[in-house]
Amino acid sequence: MDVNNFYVSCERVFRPDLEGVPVVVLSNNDACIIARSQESKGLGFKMGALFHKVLPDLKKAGVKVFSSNYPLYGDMSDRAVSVYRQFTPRLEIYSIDESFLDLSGFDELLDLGQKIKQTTKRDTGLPVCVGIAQTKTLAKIANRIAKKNPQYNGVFKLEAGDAEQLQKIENADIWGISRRLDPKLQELGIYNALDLSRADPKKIRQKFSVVLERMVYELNGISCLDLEEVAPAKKGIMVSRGFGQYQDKYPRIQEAVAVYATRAGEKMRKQGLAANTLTTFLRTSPQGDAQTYYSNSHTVAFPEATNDTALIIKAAWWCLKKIYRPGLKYQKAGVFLDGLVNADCTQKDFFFKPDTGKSKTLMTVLDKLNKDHGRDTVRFAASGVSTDWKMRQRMVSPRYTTSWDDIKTIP
Amino acid sequence: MSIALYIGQINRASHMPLPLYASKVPAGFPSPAEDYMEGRLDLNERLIQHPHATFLLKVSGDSMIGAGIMPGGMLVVDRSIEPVHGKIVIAVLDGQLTVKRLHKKHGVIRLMPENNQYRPITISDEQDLEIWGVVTNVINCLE
Repeated sequence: MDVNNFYVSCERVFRPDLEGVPVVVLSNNDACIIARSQESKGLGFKMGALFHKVLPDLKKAGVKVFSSNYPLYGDMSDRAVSVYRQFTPRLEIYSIDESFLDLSGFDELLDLGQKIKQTTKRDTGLPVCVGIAQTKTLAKIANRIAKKNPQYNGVFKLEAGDAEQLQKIENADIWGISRRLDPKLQELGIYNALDLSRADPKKIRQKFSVVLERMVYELNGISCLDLEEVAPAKKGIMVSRGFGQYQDKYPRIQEAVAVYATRAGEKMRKQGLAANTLTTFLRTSPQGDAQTYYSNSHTVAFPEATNDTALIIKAAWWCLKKIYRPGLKYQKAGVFLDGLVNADCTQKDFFFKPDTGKSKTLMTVLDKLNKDHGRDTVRFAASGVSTDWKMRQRMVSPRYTTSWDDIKTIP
Repeated sequence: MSIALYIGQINRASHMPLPLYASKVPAGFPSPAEDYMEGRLDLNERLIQHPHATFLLKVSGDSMIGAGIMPGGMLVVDRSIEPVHGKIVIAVLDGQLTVKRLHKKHGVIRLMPENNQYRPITISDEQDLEIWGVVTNVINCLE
């Protein structure tokens, strides 16, 4: 399953007047284009194009521009997955707009695909394409075919060995094959999915990797990539301590929370995980004392899973601010990270986000220094982090489904 | 340094868990009601049948006051319900959202207001009509 032009489609659910109008959505900080409607693609606007550079062209072409509205996209994504779940409990949420559904045991797959597509459109307003095949790799190709060829009405079933279709799929359009790899494959006379499916898996393994060898099998309908169902069993990461002595000063508690957040970040990176949500909690002592017992927590969702300590501290402090009440003596605080996902699997849709590489490098260096030279050799100055909260998002649409103040009004 | 700035817009903790046994029971007599505790009534349960397909919209106009939809009222809209004749619907007419009662008779589709200050809208062949969802409930605030 793949939602067509997902971010744009989310915007259009609440702005039906933009149907047929060219639309683009910008990345964080309005830096570059990360989603385009069909019309904008037709006008030649490229993924990753820098917004300030293409602004005059966008204006000239009458393109409607949105800043990214992750609360909205996240909620709409959730809704789409709920629809898929009505059809099969076995599914993998691959990214914010893509899911794999296990349809083994079902018949009349084309009809079923249509039914899923129509129900998703009806219940959420989102247009989807369905690619059906024996393996995940083939299903991705099938989805591409469904999307590019209107005659299939958004649903395509691809059989392994369909030479005619596989021949049309270039190397770089195969799931998991990078542009970098493409010329090396071409040297071996492999120009498309059909060629790769006919290559000798052993040779591919020798020349490249096990991963690519698996691709060869996958293209032949032999499933090598399992469905990675969301495993709620993966527990969250909790770091919490009682204070040595009761604390009532906000800066002190902030420091403590920053330390816990830092630990939690380290733990996640060690396990190769990233978190989707963070909770900070704070409480006074439940044992008598001359004050009322107070305990509270606040949870926030990251727009995309993260394991960046700077962000985790920011989020933890933001939550702390919500729950801190002056005048109380606190005994314990903690930070809880949940919605853990494999760090390598996140951010697929955010190749263009300028920060990511930098932050990853920074975190790696930080972890290494602290490992070699002892904990907290290098750490975040816990000051100055709380400022600068408002980001540049000049053209963001209302949070139609997640904020009472933003509910769409109709005349 | 930008991602975190979105933080805080979704509050997952919006659903209050019911404190069934939150209070400490004193050592004396246990509450005779303890064995009969039930969850308190939850309006969501009553108003929303299909959460994934339900959206909230607000109304500013008065064209549907006859149906109990007051200006400022909040509509619970379920997209998964079939928009048959007689349902109050959110319609998209030429790209604009509107709330009206749907009339389908003898092949003629009409959007009926419920306020005689307004006229029914008969959908012509050139017009583009799409039903966005079916209104199942309205919440009119009295304060």
